[in-house]
Amino acid sequence: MHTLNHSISIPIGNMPPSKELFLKLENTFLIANTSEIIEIVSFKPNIEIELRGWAKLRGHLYLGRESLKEQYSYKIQKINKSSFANKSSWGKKMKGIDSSNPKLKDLELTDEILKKAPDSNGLMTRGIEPQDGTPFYDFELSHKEQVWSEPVSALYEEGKHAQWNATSDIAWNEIPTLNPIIEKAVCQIMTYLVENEFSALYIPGKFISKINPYYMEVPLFLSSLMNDEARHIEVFTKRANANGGGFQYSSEITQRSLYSLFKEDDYIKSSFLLHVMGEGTFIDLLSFLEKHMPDETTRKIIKLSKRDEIRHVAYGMEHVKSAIQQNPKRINALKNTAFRRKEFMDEVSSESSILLESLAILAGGSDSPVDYKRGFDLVEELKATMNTNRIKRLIDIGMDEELANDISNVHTPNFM
Amino acid sequence: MDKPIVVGSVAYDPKIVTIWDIIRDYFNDNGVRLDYMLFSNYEAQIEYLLSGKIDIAWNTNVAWVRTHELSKGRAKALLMRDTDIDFKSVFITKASSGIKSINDLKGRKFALGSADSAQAAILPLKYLQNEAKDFDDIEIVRFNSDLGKHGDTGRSEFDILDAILNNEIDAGAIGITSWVRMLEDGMFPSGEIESFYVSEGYCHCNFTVIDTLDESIQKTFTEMLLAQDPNEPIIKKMMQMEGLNKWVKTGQEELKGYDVLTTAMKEQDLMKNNW
Repeated sequence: MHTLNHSISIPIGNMPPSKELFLKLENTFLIANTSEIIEIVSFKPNIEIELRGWAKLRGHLYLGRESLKEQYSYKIQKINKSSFANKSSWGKKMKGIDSSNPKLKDLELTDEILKKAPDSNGLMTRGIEPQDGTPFYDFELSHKEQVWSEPVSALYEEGKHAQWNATSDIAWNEIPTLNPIIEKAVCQIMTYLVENEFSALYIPGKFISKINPYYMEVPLFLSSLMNDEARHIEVFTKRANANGGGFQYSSEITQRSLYSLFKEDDYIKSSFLLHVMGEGTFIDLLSFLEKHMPDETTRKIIKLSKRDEIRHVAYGMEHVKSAIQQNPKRINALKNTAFRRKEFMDEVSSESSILLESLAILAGGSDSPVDYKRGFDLVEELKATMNTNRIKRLIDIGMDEELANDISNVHTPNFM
Repeated sequence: MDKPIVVGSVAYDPKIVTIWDIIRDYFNDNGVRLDYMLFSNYEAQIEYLLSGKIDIAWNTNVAWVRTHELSKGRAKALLMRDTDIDFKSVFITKASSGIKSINDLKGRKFALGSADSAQAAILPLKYLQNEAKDFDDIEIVRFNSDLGKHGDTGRSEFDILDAILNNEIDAGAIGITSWVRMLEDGMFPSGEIESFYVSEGYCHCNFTVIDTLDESIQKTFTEMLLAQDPNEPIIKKMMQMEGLNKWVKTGQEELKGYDVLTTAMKEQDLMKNNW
């Protein structure tokens, strides 16, 4: 026994055999390597019964007791397989701490980010050591290419920076009384925006719990995105109810379009439809609204919302782009998705007449025949702009021009 | 289809169903048909084993000794838990009681657990008789609870702990496993209760068969259990619930671990199987 070298020594002073003592032992043995000898140094000469009994119960080997100067050294050898595959890291200090500006991208949790999350990665992330026997969650989205978007960390920081408050950052009391025709158009547009924002809130919500948190930046970013969408729902709801109007009508075509988006169960396809096609097109719509809104307050609402949406599109673009780079055959799947959606939409009549009339009145400035016609032409121009920009985005994520044209042409007349 | 291997086990706790479902699934998934039968007491299980209605019995040491005796030596122990070897009884008392050894028990109230528990009653009585100079001056108090379960529930041991804490008795006998669990669970203020005696090691449970059972069944059963991987999550769970780190064969050395109990049971007239 004198010759046995221990590598870990636990001084326990006068601690009697107790819950606190066994807790300490339990954890020391949990982390120790197989065959490692652990020394317990105690003032007590008579805790052998308990230490031996505990070791037996845990499958460890009690080696014996040795008298030290006024103390006793009890030794136990760990026999079982180690409970942790790796030792946890130590001595880390992330970048940005010294300048008090540690950003998400500065985290270096592991040397590399694996292409597939380990099966044992449950509700934890890179760098956390899971214990043996940890349950397997079987997250559906456990491959990096399914979820990752390179700028996600930067977008997350940007998102936090650009947060705004739909109660206090908007000069609600400065909205002027508008012509009821215009106000009604604004209320109808707000109603439509709320519907669309719900889809932008619920769709990431459908996927977030399927994403392996090994890729923690993605769920973090998506929750900030969801927070943005919640704020948009709030602000558009408030605007609809701010000025003597209220919510207006939901058209079947809008709901049908959102339903076909909501039902998509593949994350990459969904990201393509929502962020690239839908929110991408929405940016053009919001620019149009910002330009034509009759008052400063409503313009600001639109402007702030658009800033958020640009961030969401940036995530989706890089996400889908890198998914295509990993597997170019995906382009075909994305094309089929867009065409299937079009078939579904074709079952009913094409455009949301309620929305389009409101947009035309807003852009024209009144419902007089002349203004209305001018507004209507502006809406047609908007649609052309949307198409051009959609094609640009599709090319940007890796499609050839012809395909980009085809896909853009079949995009939903609901815009989102 | 072959008739399944039927193993008997006493249902002293609801977790027994979970444990045996896991073992049954493990056998069946590996191509060996196995089923289990639950008994409410060991006496019934012994009866069923002796009359060939079950193939294998998961027996306490008391049930093993009795089966061995009643089968006239035709009982055979196949394997056991690593924690069944070198099992011990400990005597505990309040740290403030002044009791530091068996000889301090003179004139004191000493508790034994369930009459059919080897660790809490049968062996402690034997050790006390062997080692106490003033055995007749010790007032023995018995806590008989859950009879028929051979001490598996540990209830009588917890009753003893309570009685010591409430100053109803001075000391008592419990199994080492229960003692470590009481300490680990913090069932009394740290240091308030201490152990002052530990017995020699003896053996606890084993899987018992009668030697008329087909050799190949004995072999298959033993090999299948020994092959269980303690790192497999579901097996790990079962082993934690059943209180073992690994299965081990019961060899000659282990069988000696039942000698002292056999003597004690004969002396205490406990060989009859009163079902």
